[in-house]
Amino acid sequence: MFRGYLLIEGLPPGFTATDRRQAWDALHRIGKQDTPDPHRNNHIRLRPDSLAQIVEAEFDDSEITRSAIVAVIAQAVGLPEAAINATLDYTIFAEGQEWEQSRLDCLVFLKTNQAAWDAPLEN
Amino acid sequence: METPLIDFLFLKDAPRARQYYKKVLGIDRANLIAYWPLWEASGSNAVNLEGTVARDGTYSGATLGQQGIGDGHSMPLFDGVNDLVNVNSASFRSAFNGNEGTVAGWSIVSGAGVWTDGVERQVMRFLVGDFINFVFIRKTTGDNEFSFNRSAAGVGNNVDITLSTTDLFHWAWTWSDSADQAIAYIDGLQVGSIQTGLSTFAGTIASDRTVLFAADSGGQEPWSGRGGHVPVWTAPLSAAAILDLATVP
Repeated sequence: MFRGYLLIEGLPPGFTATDRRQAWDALHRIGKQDTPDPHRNNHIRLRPDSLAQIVEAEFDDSEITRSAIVAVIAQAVGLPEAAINATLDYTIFAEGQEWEQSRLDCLVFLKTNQAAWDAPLEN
Repeated sequence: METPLIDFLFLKDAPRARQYYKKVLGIDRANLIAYWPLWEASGSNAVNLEGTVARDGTYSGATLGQQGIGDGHSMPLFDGVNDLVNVNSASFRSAFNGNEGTVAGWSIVSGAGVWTDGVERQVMRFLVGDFINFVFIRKTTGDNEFSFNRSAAGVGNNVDITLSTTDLFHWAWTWSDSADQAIAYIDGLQVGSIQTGLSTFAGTIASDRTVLFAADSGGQEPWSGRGGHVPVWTAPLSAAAILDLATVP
């Protein structure tokens, strides 16, 4: 069991917006979904350009291997797993460690990549 | 005979606990359109204590049941990555008044470093999809800066203050197009100058940008720390009422 943050980016460049939405929606369905504790249930943060997604939940270890993530995306968009695997960048923040370390590592990532992950400034 | 929820809470709670939320409910009740205490211990529903069930909110990821404001109830912890409370409902969005209103709440940062992390973090945001009509309150990207914002038809009124507290603090923002005033408060006291030159708000706030403790339903600009007790009125409260809100009996 792992509770923490995953980063998925590098979907095939030829994906349409619909393809990306299908992929992200599929990743919204991994991990715990409906426990009484919102922090254990799957919730996401989508990069403003929709090309990457952070997923947080409590997961079974088997569902967050790279091959498992590739399989979820491939099935959602109807493509061979090899096509997804060829471009996918996948990170588990603080794999095997406690949630707080995963959160801290994710925060460092977001700070380092702030320009891409923050919403555009208004006014 | 059914016991109404409010009366049940009155009977159930310790005297100190029943006083704060009842105080909130007793302030300008006719213009109170929502009040999310965010005091649930579990579950995804964030009850609207004003009573309109359709305006209940939904937690996304927050860790519930954390230390509260000292009223005998808890508050959620927002992780600063993607936690939020989605308070979108057709009922609330149609009731919200961008021309006459008050929003208030309590917050505390998860650590001193939040004030200098260079990340914009919202405590509330109600924004029309045109991006020129909105009300939001946030920690800005600048060090130790907290900002109250209202824009109507692209005319912005902001109060920016220096804030770096690691204690619980109360925030409140009142606006009135008819009186041409917007006033910001921290811990019950006015901060900054009274804003004038307000323009007329237009449009309905967007379904994906009617959020507490983040910028949108996608988890942008999330708060890092605890927060709760967020009421919204369709009238600007007086300074005396704001001071009362900022006081836990």
